Amino acid sequence: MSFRARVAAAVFLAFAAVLPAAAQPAPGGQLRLAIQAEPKSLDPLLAADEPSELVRHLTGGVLVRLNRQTQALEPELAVKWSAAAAGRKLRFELRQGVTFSDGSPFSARDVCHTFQRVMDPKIDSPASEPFRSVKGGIACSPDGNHAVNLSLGEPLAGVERLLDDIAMQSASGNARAVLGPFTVAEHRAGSHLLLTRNTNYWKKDERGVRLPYLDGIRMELQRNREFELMRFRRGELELVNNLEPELFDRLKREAPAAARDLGPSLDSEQLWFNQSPRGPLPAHKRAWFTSGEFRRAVSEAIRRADLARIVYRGHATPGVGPTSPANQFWFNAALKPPAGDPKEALARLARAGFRLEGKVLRDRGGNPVEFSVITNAGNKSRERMAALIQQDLAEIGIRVSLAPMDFPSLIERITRTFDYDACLLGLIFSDLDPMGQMSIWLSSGPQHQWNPEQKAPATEWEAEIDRLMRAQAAEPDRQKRKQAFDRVQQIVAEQAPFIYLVYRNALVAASPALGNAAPVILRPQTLWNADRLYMKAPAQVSQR
Amino acid sequence: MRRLAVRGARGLAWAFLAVLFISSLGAGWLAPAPPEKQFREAPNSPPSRAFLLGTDDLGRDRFSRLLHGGRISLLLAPSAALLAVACAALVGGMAAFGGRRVAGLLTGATDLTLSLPWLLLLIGVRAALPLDVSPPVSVGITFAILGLLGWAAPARVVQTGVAGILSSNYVLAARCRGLSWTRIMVRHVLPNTRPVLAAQFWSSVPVFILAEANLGLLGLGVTEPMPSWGTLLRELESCLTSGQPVLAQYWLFAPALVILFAVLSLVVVFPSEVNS
Amino acid sequence: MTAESGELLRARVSVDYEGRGAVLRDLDLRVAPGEIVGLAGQSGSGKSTLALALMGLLDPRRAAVRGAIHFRGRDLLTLPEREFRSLRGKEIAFVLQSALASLNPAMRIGAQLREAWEVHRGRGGDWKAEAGAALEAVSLPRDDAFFRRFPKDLSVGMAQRVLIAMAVLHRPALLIADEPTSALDVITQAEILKLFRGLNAAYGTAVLFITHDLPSAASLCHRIAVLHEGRIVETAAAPEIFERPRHPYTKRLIEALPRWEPAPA
Ligand SMILES: Nc1ncnc2c1ncn2[C@@H]1O[C@H](COP(=O)(O)OP(=O)(O)OP(=O)(O)O)[C@@H](O)[C@H]1O
Ligand SMILES: [Mg+2]
Repeated sequence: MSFRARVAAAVFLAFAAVLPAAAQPAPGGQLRLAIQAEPKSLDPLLAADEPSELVRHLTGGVLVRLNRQTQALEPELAVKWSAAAAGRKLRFELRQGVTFSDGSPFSARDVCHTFQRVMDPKIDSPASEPFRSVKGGIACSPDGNHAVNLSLGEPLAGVERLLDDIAMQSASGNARAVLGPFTVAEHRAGSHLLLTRNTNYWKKDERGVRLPYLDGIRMELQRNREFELMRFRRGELELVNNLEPELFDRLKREAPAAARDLGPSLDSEQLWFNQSPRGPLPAHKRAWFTSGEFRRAVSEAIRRADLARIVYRGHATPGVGPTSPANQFWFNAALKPPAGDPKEALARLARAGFRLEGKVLRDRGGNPVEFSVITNAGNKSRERMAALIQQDLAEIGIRVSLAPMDFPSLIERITRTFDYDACLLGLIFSDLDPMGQMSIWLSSGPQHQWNPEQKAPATEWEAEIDRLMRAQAAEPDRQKRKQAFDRVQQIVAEQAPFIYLVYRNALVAASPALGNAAPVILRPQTLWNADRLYMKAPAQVSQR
Repeated sequence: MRRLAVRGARGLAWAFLAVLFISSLGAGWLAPAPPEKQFREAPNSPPSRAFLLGTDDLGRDRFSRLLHGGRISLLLAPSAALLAVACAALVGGMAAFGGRRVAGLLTGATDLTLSLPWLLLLIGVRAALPLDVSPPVSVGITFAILGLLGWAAPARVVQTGVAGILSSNYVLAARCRGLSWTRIMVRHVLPNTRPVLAAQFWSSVPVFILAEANLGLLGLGVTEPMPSWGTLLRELESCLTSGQPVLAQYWLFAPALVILFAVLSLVVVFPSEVNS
Repeated sequence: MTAESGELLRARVSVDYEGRGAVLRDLDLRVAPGEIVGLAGQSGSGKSTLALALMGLLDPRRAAVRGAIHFRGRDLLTLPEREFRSLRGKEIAFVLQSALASLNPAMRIGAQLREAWEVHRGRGGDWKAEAGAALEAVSLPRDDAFFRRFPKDLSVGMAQRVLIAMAVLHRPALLIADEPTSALDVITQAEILKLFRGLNAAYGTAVLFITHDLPSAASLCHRIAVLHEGRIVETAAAPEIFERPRHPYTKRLIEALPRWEPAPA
C-alpha cells in the first residue's frame, strides 16, 4: 500500500466509524480521559505544553480552524477572510450573534484586544513567536463591530493557519469568558480538571441541536500509562491518545474494536552526523561526516522496514524525507525510502573512496570507519533502533558503538560542545506548514542540528535550501510554495543531513461507547471534534 | 544424616558451578548462535528447539546470551564485590581502630559517599568518558564503578563489626596477656572480621549483577551488543513492572533462576566464611 | 605506709569515667607476696574498673586515672607502654569476668596457649610441654585433640580453667581474677576455688580475688577488702569480717546474705 493509499484508508476508516453511530446523538454524559502532566497554564495565550494546548483547543474559540481531518482551514468565528496588499493586509468578517460563555457579545473589539495581548512583550505568549520576525510588527483595527483589519509590516506566508492557536478573549477582561464548546469548571492541581458545557456555544448540529453534546469532560492526572490503559479497559476512561506500540498491541488483543492505528503521524525519528566545525572531531571523521555520499550510503544501508516492524511492532512507517505522508498537502510523494541494501551502500562508498578490507571499511587514508551514536538513555525504542542500525552497518564494515546518555547531557553535546559523532533523536511536529520548520532548514537556524547557526551556509546544497526556504516564505501562491518545499525535501533525501528513519504511527484507543469518535493523527487526536462527541446509550454500543 | 545432606548439597553446588563456569567459558562453542546475532524474522519468540529460551526484542537468542552473559557477570561481579569489600575493610577497619578524629573523618566520608547524589555523579562520569568505549572496556569501567561505589555501605557494617571486636573480651584478654596491637590486629581482629566481610561480599555479588543492568539507564554499564546477566534481568524486570501476566512468559525467569542458583551455590561451597 | 618491703602491690588510685564522674576515689589497696586478697563489693561498685586500672588497660580516652600503683617497687602509672606490656601476662596475670568471651572464637585452644607462651618467651621453647603442665594443673587434658578444639567446643567451666591455665603459664607474681566463679554452678565453683588455693600453694602466686560473693571469698582469702562508694571501707582477715564487721556497709552486706546455717559462733 502506498503512503497516500494508507492515509486515505485511515481517513476512510475514520468516517466508517462515524457512520453507524450517526443515528441520533443525544446530549448529556461525561467523557473521561487521562492527561500525563498538569497543564502548565490555563491562559490560552500561554499554552505551550500538550495538556495546556488541549485545554485551549476545548475551550477556546478561534477565527480560523484547521480541520484536523481534511487538514484544510475552515471559517470559525471569522466567516470570511481576504488578503490584500501582497498579503500585508488581512480582513476578517466576524460571525454575528456569538456570545461568550458569560453572556457578553463577541465583537471586533475582543479580537483586537486578543491580538494586543498576543503581541504584548510582557505576556511573552508563545503564539507571538511566528509574528516576531515580521518587521514592522502587526496591528489590529476594528472595522465596525463585525470586521477587523490586520496589517503586517511584511507578508508572512501561511499566516492564517497561525490563527488556529489564538483563542479569542473578552475585552471586558473576564478571563473565564470563552467562546469554545467547554469552560473550565474545576481545577484540582495534582488530581483532575473538569470542563463543563459552554451553554452559550454558538454551534448547532444539522438538526438544530445546540452543541456540544457532552455535558462535560473530566481529565484526570495519571502519569503511569499502564494504569491509564488498565482504567480504560475497566471502562473508567473513554479514550487514550498517543499509545506506545507495546501497550497498543496488548490492548488490540483484548479489545480489538477500541484500538486504532491511524497510520503515520507527523513525528519523525532521525539519525544525523555532526558536521559542526565547532566540535572536537578528528579531521578524517569530519571528512566522512561532511561527505554526502557517506551519509547517503549509511542511509541506504539501514533497513527501515526492520526498524518499523521490530522496534515499533509494525506501528511505524519508513521514511526518508522531512515530511510525513500524513501531511497531505506538503508531503513529497516522489521520495521513496531506500530498502536497506548493503551492496548498493558499498558501491556508493567505493565511489567515494572507501574500501572494504575483510570485515572493516576503511577510508582513503586507511582509517577504519567507526563512530558512536548518542541517544537518550531509557528510551527503549531509540536504544533498540540503534542496536538494529549497529548490525546493519556492521554488514558494510562500519563499527558503531552506542552511547545512550541522559537527556540533558545529550542536549549539552548537540547544542554546546558538539562533542559527538552521530545522534539518534525524534522530532515532534504540530505544524503542517513548512513555515514552522524555518529554524530547522535555514543554515543560520538554531535547530539546523547537524551544523547549527552558521554565519554563511557551509555547503552548496545548504545555500540552495536557504534560498528555497526564503523564497517560499515570501511567496503567496501555495502551489509555488509547495514546489519549492518539494525541492527542499528532495535535497534532504539526497544529502541526508538528517537520515530520516521512520514516522511513528498515531495509536489511539476509543471506547465503543463514544459516539462520533473519528480519531486523527493530528493533535488532539480523538478530541479534535470534541463538540460532536457523545456518549451512546448502552443499547447502542455494539462490541464489534 | 545432616552431614550427608550438607555434603550432598555441596556436591550439587560444585557441580552446578562447574557446569556454569565451563558453559560460560565455552560459550563460544556451546552457544547455538552468536549473542549479538539478530534473527530479525523472529523477535520476541517463545522457546522453541531453535531458541531454547526464546528470543528478545531484537530477535537475539536468549540462551546464547545467557551463556555469554555469564562470562561477564560471573567473572566481574565477584571482582567488583572483592574491590568494594577490600575498600570497605580498609576504611571500616581504620575508622574503628583509629582515634576519634580518624574515626570521625572516615565515618564522615562514608556518610557523604552514601548521601552523595550518585545519579548526577554517574552522569558526570559518563560525560567524562569517551563516547566510543568498546564493549570490553565498558565492562571494566562498569565494574570499577560498582566496586568504588559499593564500598560505603559495607564499610559501615565493617566498622561496627570491627568496633565490636575491638571492644570484645577476647581482645582485652589478649592485651592482658601482653600482646602488641599489631599482633592483636593480625591474629585476633582480622580473622574475626572474616564472616562480616564474607557476608558483605556474598550479598554484594547479586546486587552488583543487577546494578550493572541499571547503570544502562545512565548510559553506563556493559554496552550493546554485549550481553550480561544484568541486561537479561532487566528484561524480566520490565515484564514484571508492566503488569502483564508474567507466567505467560515464564521463560524470562530462567536468567533469574540461574543467578539465584549461582549465588546459592557459591554460598554453599564456601560455607565456613558465611556461617558463624 | 613505710613497710614497702612486705608489699607486692600498693595501689592508691582515683578513676573518673568521662561523663560519669568518679568511680574510684583515692582507693587504697595492698597485696603482700603470696597473699590471697578478696575484693568484695556490690555490682557496679568499680571492682572491674580497679582491676583494669591495675593492668593499665583502661581506655585513656574515656577514663582518667590518678594516683600511684606500685608493683614490686615500680610505679605502673608512669611506666612506658612497652615495658608495661612485658609485665602483663608475665608478672601480673588477669582472668577476665566472662570466661567464654575471653577466648578468641576463631583460634584453636592450642594456638591461643602457644601465643600466650611465645609472647614472653619467644619461639623455639617447648610451649607444648609448658602449656600441658599448666593444663594439668587446672585438671584439663593435655592431649593434641584438646589443643585442636575451638572455644565453642568448651563448657564455661572448662573455658575458665583454660584461662586460668593461660594466666599461670608464666608463674606470675600476681593473679587478678575478676569474678571467676560467678557464672559457674556450685560444684564447679568449689573446684575453681580449690584450684586457686592449690596454685597459691604451689607457685606462691598472690591472688586478687574479685567477687561479690562474700562466702566464697571468705573460704579462699586471707584478707577481704570491702569496696563501697569508690573506697575500701574495711579490710580484715576473713573470719573477722563476718564476726565483727565494723563499717555499716559491711554489716549490710553480711545481713543481706542468705543464712544457710546458724550464725557462726
Ligand atoms: N567505659 C566506661 N565508661 C563509663 N562508665 C563506665 C565504664 N565502665 C564502667 N563504667 C561504670 O563504672 C561503674 C563501675 O563499673 P565496674 O564494671 O567497674 O563495676 P563492677 O564492680 O565490676 O560491677 P560488676 O560486679 O557488675 O562487674 C559502673 O557504674 C559502670 O556503669
Ligand atoms: Mg565487674
